[in-house]
Amino acid sequence: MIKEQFAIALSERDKEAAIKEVSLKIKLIFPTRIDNLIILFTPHYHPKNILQSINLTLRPKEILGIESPFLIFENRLIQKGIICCCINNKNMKTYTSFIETGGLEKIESSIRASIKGPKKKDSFNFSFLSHQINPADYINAMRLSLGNFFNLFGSGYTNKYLSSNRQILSNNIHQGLTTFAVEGIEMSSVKLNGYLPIGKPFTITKAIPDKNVIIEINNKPAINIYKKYLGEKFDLFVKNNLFSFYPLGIKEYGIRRLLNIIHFLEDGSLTCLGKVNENTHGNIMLFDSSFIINDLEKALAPIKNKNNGLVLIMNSLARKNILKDLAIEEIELIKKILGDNFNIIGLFSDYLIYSDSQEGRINLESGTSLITLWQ
Amino acid sequence: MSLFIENLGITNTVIIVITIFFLITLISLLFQKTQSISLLKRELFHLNTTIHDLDQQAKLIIKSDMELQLYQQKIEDELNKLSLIKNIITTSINILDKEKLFHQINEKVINDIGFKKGLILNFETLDPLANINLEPHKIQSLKNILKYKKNFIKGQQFLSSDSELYKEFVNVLQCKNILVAPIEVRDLTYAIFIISDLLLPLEIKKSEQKSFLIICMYLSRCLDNIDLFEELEIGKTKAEKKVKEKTHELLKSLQKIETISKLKTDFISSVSHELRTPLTSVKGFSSLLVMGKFGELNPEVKKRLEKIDLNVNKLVDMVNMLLDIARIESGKTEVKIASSDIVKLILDVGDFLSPQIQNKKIELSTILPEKVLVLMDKNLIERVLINLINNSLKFTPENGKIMLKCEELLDKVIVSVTDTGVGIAQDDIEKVFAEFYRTATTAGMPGTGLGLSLVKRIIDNHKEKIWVISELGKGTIFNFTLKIDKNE
Repeated sequence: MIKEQFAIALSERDKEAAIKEVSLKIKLIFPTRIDNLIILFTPHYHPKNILQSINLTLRPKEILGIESPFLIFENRLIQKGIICCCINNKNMKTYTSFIETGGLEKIESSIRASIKGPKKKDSFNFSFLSHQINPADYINAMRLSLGNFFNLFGSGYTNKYLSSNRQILSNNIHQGLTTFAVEGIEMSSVKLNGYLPIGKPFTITKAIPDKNVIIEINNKPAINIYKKYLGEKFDLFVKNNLFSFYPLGIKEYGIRRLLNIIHFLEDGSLTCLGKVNENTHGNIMLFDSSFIINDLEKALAPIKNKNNGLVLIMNSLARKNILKDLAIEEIELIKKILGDNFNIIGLFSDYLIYSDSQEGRINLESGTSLITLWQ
Repeated sequence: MSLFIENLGITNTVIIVITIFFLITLISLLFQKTQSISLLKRELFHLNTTIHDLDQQAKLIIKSDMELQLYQQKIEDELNKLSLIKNIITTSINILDKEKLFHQINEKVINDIGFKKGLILNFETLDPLANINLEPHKIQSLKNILKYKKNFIKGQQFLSSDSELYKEFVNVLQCKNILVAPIEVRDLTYAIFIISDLLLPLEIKKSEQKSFLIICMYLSRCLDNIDLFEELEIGKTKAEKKVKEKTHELLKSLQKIETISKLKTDFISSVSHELRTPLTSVKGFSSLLVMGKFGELNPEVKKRLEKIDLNVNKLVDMVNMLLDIARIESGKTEVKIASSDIVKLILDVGDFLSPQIQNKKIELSTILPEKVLVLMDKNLIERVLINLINNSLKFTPENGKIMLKCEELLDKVIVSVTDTGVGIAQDDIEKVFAEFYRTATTAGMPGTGLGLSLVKRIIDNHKEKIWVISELGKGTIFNFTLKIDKNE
């Protein structure tokens, strides 16, 4: 995809003024035709007003909107604003589906219906989950309906959080599972990590994979792994809910995957984000901030080598909390490394969804940043 | 047979040798393996120790990292709080109107605390004082609840999430994360502040609670200040009104005084004028009688006539002075200001009065420049000098001293008449220029009590100053100023 086929715009104004501003900016670049419009907006704006205004001014063929607590625009972290991204490519086809709530069966049937059109190999699937959708059900449904899937990306919110995660799809406003399959464009991705294993490796000796529960680690209640390292600071750790700062790093099929702990149960079991199998080895993981300075360029090399394109960053709130001011620095550095030939937009969520490039497994992770390149 | 037995013996030996060799090799191999195993065991032990040490270090690292994270979070929260409070204070510090104050609580403030919606209701009337994004039907529902349950909020910093009222609010607002707090003014609940719908997908943080509480407290302070200001304003208006009334009364009184004063002056002038004619006649005849123009008189009669003559003279002086005062006060005497040498005038007056001065054996000295031209009415200033020197003469005992001084100071001259007389008490100093005023020390001495009054009026007409410095028993200095004529 050449650069002239997409445009991005940002407005940080209040309410309707912001929507008008982004609409005008997009209209200046594409005065006649808008094929696909992606809108990212912070909770300050009402999607109803966005939809009304966009339909009046831009009239896109397809519209996808995602609410996000923060946004990324080029080299900036946006606290309040609206981002519009227009993609005009005649070869690009999109297939969308939405369900408001539902368990495994409902999700599975919706996914089957939405991905009837695109061919699995050639399409890229984006999924956005609000807190009503259980990610475990989603992953199981995807596995059941698609088997192994290689080109899956997405983000979502867990049911612990109580704010709204509104989505716009076509001409409707929802909260649920929105899937957006894209054909006819090239996509690639990298994951920004930065976590290092620390301490002695452990073994998950007992778990309930389908429920995402770790019961025992090293034949002791799972919570003991944190008690061991925190000692007298454990109560402070629990009080401030710092599990997301110190995820577990699980080694499966030769690859280390972050496993974020959501909560611990009375019996010492840990509920986590993503599936975990018994007899898996792992470590406590600690974020190493020198990654941003030393390894970021290397991590972004696969994208930078593509020369140009639209970059969609799906970042996690846990990573932002851990990095603090460094989160802004990371965003600035990404832009600096990639350069002006890449247009960058992004959103934040609790967890990221991505498919394993080698085995096609679908993973959930928090604390990392997923960077996708559209060309 | 013997060959076979011999061969058998050699084979056995060989076998034994080979076996021994094999055993030795095995033993040696076993020994090597054992050594390797020991080495490996040692290495394993070291490795385990290293891993254990690293694990211990990992504990330290994680603990330190966690503490650092918490401190950073705390600092960030405090900074955000300060920024929020600073923004609110900056926009509302000069507001002295309650309506305008609540207007400052806008969407930005609510967003900065971390929420999307907010509502402030007047506690008594339940009228909305500020509404940010809350739907009208929800506001009405909240009002309906609060109508009967206001007391649940009184005296609390925050409405507890366990309370029934909190749950009802949650139900109405359809949001689990809300904060409710009263805004108090002088220990009375003035308003209720409700915020709901978190911006970020997180639970309410302590920093958000604190920020909300600080804003409620700040609003309470502002309302207190507004009340105080309103009270002050009312007080000020009342005071201003009173001052106005009093000023009006004073003006009226002043007008009355001026009228009375004018009447007095006219009366004095008219009476003095009327008295003058017959007094002149009496004076004339008494003088002639004393001089014996109408024949020799009996010594007793002559003595009494002399007394009459003396008293008539006094009366004539008094009437003349009263007339002068009246004329000056009423503006009938024109003050003719012209440039004239004050030094010459002082010397002339000194000469004129020198016989009386010499009679009393008083030492007259002068400290005068050569010549100073001043703007004055020469005749009137002459009268001033005569009255002042006469006063000094009157109240200075024999062998005393009188000094006449004139010195320049910027654009004025200060003329001083200093004596070593009886002095004036501090209580009397302010009153010496009043008409007919006699101090205790001068009460028995001759004089009308009008001289200094006339002197003051003349100096006032010149728009200059006169003042007195005195000490009882030591002496008195009278000073007055005149303007130097810069044109010469």
